[in-house]
Amino acid sequence: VNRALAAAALLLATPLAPLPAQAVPDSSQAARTYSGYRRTPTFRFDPFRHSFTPAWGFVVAAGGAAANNTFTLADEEAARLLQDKDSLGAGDVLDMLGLVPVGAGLTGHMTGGGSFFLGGPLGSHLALGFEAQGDAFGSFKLNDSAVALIRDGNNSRPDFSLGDSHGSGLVTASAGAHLLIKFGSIGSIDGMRLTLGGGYRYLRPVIYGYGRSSITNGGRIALTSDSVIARIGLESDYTVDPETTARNGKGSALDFLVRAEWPTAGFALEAMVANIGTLTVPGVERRTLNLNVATTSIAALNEKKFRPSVGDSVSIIDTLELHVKDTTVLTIDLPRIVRFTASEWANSILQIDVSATLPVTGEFATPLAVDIGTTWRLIRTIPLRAGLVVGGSEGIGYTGGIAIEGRVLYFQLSGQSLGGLFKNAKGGGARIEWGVFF
Amino acid sequence: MERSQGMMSLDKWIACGVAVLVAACEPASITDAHNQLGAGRKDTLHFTIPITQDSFRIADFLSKTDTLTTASGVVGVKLDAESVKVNVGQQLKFNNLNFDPFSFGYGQMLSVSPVSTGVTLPSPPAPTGAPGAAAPPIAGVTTQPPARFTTAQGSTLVSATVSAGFAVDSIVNNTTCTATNISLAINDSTGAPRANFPLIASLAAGGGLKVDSVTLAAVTVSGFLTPVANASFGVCVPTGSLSVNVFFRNRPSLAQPVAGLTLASVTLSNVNESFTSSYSALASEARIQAVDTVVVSSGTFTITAQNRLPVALTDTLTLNGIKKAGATVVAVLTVPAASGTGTTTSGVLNIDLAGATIEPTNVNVAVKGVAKTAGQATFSPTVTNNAVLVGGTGNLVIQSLAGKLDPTKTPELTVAVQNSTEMPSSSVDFGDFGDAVKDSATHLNDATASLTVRNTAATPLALINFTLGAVQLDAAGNLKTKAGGALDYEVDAAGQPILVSIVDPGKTTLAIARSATTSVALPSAPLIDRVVHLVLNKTRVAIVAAGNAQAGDAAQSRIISTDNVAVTFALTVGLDFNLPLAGVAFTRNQAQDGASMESKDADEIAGRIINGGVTASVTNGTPFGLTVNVAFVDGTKDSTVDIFTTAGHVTLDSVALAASTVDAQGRVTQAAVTNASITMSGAQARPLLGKNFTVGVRIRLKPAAGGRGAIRPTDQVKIFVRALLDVRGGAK
Repeated sequence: VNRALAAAALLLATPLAPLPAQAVPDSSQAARTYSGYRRTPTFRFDPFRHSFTPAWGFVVAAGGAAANNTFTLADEEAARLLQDKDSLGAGDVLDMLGLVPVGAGLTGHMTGGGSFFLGGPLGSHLALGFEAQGDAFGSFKLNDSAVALIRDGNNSRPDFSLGDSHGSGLVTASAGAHLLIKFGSIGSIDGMRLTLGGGYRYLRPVIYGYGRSSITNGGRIALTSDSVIARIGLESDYTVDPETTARNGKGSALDFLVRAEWPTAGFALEAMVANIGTLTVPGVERRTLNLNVATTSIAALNEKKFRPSVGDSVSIIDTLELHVKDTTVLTIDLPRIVRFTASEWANSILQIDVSATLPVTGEFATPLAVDIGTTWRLIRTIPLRAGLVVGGSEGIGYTGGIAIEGRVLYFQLSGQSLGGLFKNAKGGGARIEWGVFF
Repeated sequence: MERSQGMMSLDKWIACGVAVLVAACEPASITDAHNQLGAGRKDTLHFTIPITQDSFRIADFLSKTDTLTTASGVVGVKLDAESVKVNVGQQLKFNNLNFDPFSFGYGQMLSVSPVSTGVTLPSPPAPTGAPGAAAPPIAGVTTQPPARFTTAQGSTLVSATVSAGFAVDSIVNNTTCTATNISLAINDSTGAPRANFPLIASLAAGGGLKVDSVTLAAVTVSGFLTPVANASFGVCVPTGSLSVNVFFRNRPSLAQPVAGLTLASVTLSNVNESFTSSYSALASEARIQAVDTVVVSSGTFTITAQNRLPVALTDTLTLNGIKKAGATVVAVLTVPAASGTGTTTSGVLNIDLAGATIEPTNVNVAVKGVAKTAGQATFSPTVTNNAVLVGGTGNLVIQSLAGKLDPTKTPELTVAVQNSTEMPSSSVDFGDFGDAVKDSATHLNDATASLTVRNTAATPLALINFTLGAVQLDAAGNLKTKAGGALDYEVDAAGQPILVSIVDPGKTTLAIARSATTSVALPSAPLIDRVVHLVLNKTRVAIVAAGNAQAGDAAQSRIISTDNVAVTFALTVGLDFNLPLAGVAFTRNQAQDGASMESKDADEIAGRIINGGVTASVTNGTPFGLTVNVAFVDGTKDSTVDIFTTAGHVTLDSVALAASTVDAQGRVTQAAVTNASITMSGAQARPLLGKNFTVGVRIRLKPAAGGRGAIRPTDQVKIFVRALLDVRGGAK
């Protein structure tokens, strides 16, 4: 979130550079939009982002987005203030848990990364790009059953569990190439132009971390008035030495895209599947914790008992720590992206893009999100962007941005406020791109 | 350079942007911050916090952990074991041992054996008258000293009256003439004839022999006797001699054996008469004869000797069969001279037998009496018959006895023993039941004395009429006695002493094998009930063990003075009693974990409590009625702290239960259960929210119908008290 906020702040604070001269198509109204910029940038993971550059050049980009489904910036600041003033009390914690949506639990996700792209069109039917990039994916979920232990109280239900609570994070470095093959116009001069894209990226893992319940259904926690029952298993996997992990790990990812565009009608449909592949992560230290107790009081958890095999006396509480189980090599599935996008630009001023990014499950979960964006080219080379983000777990979000889309220069700065505006935002994102075309 | 100075770097731009956003988001005040976080959904959190959940076994309220289950199935409290040691060996005595009477006479002094004496008549001188005329008689010439009489011991006869005896003469005429008119008289020292032999008319020459005798009965003799003889030979001038010899015999002949005269009385001089005899002095004492060996710890034989003789008597007694330091005991007793009229004088001798070893069957007293005087003394059968009488008694304290000890033959093996030990108050501790038990209305219905009786003697012992009783102690710690000195035992309602007879099951005695230990459990409820009440009411009382101990079984064995019987009695009191009407209260503190909140947090949450309540579930598994009070207070308190009076405590309404259903023996057959709910404010619930709190549980047992209750180990009170708190969250 902070990273997204920082990006947004940068967006607001960065002075605009002088705009270069720019060619504008002058055929149809729709076709007057420079084809190289018809594919609207997104905050989400998009390996084909720069493959559509209008000319050979390079682009440097960085951005990210993060959100949770519960806490707004104002909430976070309130908590921080209370924490700083030593005024954060149990009642505040209860109140904060009251913010967690019932049934959903506390969730959050983030993506981010930076890239360097070099490429451009090869004639009118091909485009080739090479990129080196770093990407980060993360998500967490605290299952509603676990939240309910405190939110509802132990008198409201017999037991609780961790459910599918988990947390994950992955940072990769990759290098690859993407190729676009453009067909058309098909059928007529106004016919559809079909673009097929494919790419390959070679990845190296840098950081990987994952924590979850090792017991199916999250185990069981029961705090009744006459018993304390806990059957919990936790497992954490994380790379302790990123350098070693990056040196020895590897993976590959494939990206595919199909885009159908009707330039004169100002309409395009696109489907993209990205991040298909696996990643081998070495040096993953696996730690586990297993707790299986049934006592009549919480006090019993603190009672020290003699362990003949070790010769010491410890309580159950004392043993509640993750113990190194082994160091292993994991092969993980990359967070696969499936996105459908529809774009409409009836004239050169307004373009509307609607995309749906299908939810990702597994270690790097993200919810279904629908991005509705508009691009206003009141000044043809300086488009303004505004949009909504619908879906996700945080609620409606708002996006905005400004770009310079020149023939030799490209710059974009965008930001988003997720789940609300400004202090009511439950997340945010920012992205900056800068490119030079030859 | 100037440009660089004039432009903000990227990180500063970011920081600036973030600062702008943060400034825009940061609440203006802490209150605003609280409100910001509390602006969410209104939640009501339903919490359950256990206040106390425990099973209070009634037996746990006893301060003692040393409990057991009695035969009747109730909890038994084992009082500290006490011991009473009765020193059986020290009680062994032989009192009034009687020596068989023994007497002996000194008749020897009335029997004298004189030296024989005689005279010789020399050849008659030639006739001096006319030829043919008879010559004058010739007197005898004493050729031997007079016959002096002495006793066998050498006492010299001064005078005597003969009661029986003869003088026998033997006259031999070895002359060449016939002797005629031979006369012979016996004169004493006074010159008076004391006896005259018949005149011999003629005694042939050449060896003619004539033996005669004359009785000396009733003859009184002074000094000595000497014969006086005369004979005539007529005209014949003899050659040779005529010898006359006189013998004093107890019969009128010279036949052997020879015995002296028997005197009716005698006056002796230079008396030094001794007499030796022996006898089995303890032959008639069957009680000691049945013992092989007696080692005396202390005691004496008192020997009494009576003397009829008119001279002092010295008796030397050699006590064969009695040794001290390996030597036979010898004692000397001197008895002064008697009057000589038949009366006696006495002498007493105490023989210290401490350390002596007696072999009763071998006891034989050798008595050597010596009657001695330098003067004269007159003796007659009056004083010589039973001249000395010896008797004695003995009182012995025994160091050890060995042999086939048989109490039927030796009653001394049955001794009366008694000892006591004070019942210390520390050994009678019923914990929280103390007040109830000491109430005069409370009676223990189940109590057992487990006795361990140890016999250190190498002989079997039997306890006869052996009892345990209770006697109060006076201020000095002495057993109280009644007028007359008898122990003032505690008595029952009928005024009878409360005694527990220590016997083997089904028998009237308790037998303990040699050097063995035996155990017996005896129902003792009345006695223990009385003792417990006295002790709990701070009255000093002692357990008194008294009765008889009998050693031996007619088999070979040994008992010594240090042998004892140690009676260790472990009293077990079964918790079966009638409770007083006021009941019995127990209080226990329990530290509990609270909601583990800091004080500030706890205060805040307490202020958010919408509804509070306490539910209590109580199961009464005791035979008594029950009232349960629960209070709690913030923090951990010591077990001695009365939570019900501690500042800041919260008291919950009491929960009352009827008594459980019990059987005829007062044992629970069906536990009673009740549930109760009460409301509680947030302030009252505040202690529950802290890190920990202390719960005080007060359980008051009340008597059930019939009043009697027997507590089994499983009898318990289960208390489950929990707080139900509805806490508001959000929606500020």
